[in-house]
Amino acid sequence: MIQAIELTRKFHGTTAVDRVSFKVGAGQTLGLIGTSGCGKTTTLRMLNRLIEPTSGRVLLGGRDVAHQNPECLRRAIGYVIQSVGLFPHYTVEDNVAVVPRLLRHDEGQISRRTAELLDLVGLPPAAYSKRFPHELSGGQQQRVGFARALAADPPVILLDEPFGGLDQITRGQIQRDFKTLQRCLGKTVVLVTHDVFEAVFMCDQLCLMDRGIIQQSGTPADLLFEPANDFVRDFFRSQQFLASLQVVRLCDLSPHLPFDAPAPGRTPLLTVEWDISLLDLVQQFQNHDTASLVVSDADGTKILNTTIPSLLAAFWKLCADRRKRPE
Amino acid sequence: MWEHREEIGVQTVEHLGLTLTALAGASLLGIPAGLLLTRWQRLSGPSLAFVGVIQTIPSLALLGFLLPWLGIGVIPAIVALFLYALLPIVRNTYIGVEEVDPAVKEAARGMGMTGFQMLARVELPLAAPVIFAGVRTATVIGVGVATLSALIGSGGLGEFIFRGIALNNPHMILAGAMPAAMLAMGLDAALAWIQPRIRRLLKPFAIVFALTSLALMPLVIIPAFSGTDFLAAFPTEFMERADGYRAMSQVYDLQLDTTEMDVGLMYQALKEGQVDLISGFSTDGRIQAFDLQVLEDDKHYFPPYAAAPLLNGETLRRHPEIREALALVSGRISNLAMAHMNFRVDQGHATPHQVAKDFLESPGIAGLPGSGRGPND
Repeated sequence: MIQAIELTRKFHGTTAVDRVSFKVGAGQTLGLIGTSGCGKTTTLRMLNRLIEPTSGRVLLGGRDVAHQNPECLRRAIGYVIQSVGLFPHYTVEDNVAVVPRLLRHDEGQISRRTAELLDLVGLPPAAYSKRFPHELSGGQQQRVGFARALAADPPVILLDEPFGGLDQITRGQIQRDFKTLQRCLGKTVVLVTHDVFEAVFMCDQLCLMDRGIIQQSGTPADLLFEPANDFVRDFFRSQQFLASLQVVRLCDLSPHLPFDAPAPGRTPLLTVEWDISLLDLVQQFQNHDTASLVVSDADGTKILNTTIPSLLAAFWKLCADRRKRPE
Repeated sequence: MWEHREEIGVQTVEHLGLTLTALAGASLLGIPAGLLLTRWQRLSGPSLAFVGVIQTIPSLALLGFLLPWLGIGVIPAIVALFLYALLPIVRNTYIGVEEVDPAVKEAARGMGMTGFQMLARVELPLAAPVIFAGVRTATVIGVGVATLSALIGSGGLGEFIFRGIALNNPHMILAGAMPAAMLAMGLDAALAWIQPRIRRLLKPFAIVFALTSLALMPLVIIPAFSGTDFLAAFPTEFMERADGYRAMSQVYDLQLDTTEMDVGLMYQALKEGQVDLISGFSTDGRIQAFDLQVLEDDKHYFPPYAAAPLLNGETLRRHPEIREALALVSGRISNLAMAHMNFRVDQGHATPHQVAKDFLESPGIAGLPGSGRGPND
């Protein structure tokens, strides 16, 4: 869906972004991560031509963006920034309607779409559509920001640290909500963040950048368990455990866990998906010493009787296996 | 003051016309100029400095400066008011747009707004309060400066004020100053009321403003061009005092088109041909310098206005020698000699001290025949 080819950007002789290449498939989420000043935001802004590359190309759906009118290009790409940037003189409704109005959509269609989107981001239009941005909390403002980015139904959404300005609890909620939304709308997303946990939680693919150069690209598990160099290892170190719990899914642990066929008469405590992350699973039954899980997949339904310590034991084993592999 | 109500009304309308015309011009030019500066940042420093420099020119100096090009009357007054209104309007427009939250601009650009759409939908609406503050500042300054334009014969409430100053009549000063102050406050309040409603009011407001300006402009400008073949300019004091123009016009049976003008600007206006007759001082150096002609008072309307040194009695008792020193020159300075000495000082060739010294040391001083008259009006 999006492809960056050897993207380079120089500012006054220093190279902010140096030959960055990546591909994002339709419906996928790519995370551009790294410390401040590593060039991740510059890279993102080259995708919708807010910054023009010094050299290199960006292909969107196979077409070179350099040949498109920059305004038309941007209207076809959702864009959300950390400081939100809602128009303070517009109501919530009018803020969401900005791009559809730029595209001269029919007004009736716009108001239907606006109401639908506000519902989707968890702000009932009856209560919120006529409010002004200053009457909303930071989290609510960012929800409006997402609704605004989705308004013209763009296939691609660019997010520049959209959760950065929010408190821990609000951030977690909005991250989950956005992830669900993105999955069910099938949007292709490029997310810029410096937050390790957010990156592994939200993204299918990661590009870790430092001083304008990609240090490593791959799935979150690749970067966590098989760091290409010391920089990558150090970057994840502080959140290694939590990030690993998030990355590892129940299905990854199946070789190490005793699954049974379902037996009549036993009522399982939880019904979960195969690909639930270990972190979610642990959180779901942290109030119980033992849990009986029902897992369904294409092959049928399986039952798992397990405890948190045995889940963690399986997890350590998996981690050890993954780390050994490169050697 | 009540007996002047009709005149106050006329002058208030003139004043309003001057201010609003200049303000409309300054807004029409200043707001786009301020917006252009936000797009061409490199020009912003020099341009703002330039309009700032205009602001620092004293009002009377600016009027004098415009005289050779624009003459007297309403046009130079409007131009001067326009120039003074530029700084607050241009600067506030520039700052207002510059101060719009960068996140909002970034979001607007990121959503695919063109430069013009950003300006019209985001930057201008958000900068409006600051721009309005500039227009309000310009309005208050304009109402104040417009009083000075009475000095170049463009009417307005300044006429009362300067007449009152000349005649030492506080009531007359108030008759001009109070309506001017109320005008300033009224316009400011009106703009304050309009500001939050500007988006709704933009169209009706623009129409009303345009109509008012159109209606007032002829009132203000046409008299300026309904010019006569022969125009006389007199200072406010001369127009008002009993032994001034009114009595003179009876004695000489004159019906002149007159305009009021500052004493300091009269001579230059005459030199430039803006007016044809002024009431000058026959000893003024500029008569010689500008090659002006003094008319003869053959009906002896003007009494001799001899310059008489006035001294505090106490000072004279303590320094009796002053009397002797003054007696030395008393009645010894002819009009011509006085005019010549004024000429030397006015042309900047010598200091008053030097001219006086030269006169006292001139060989003929003792032998000069006393004319019995000092420098005359």
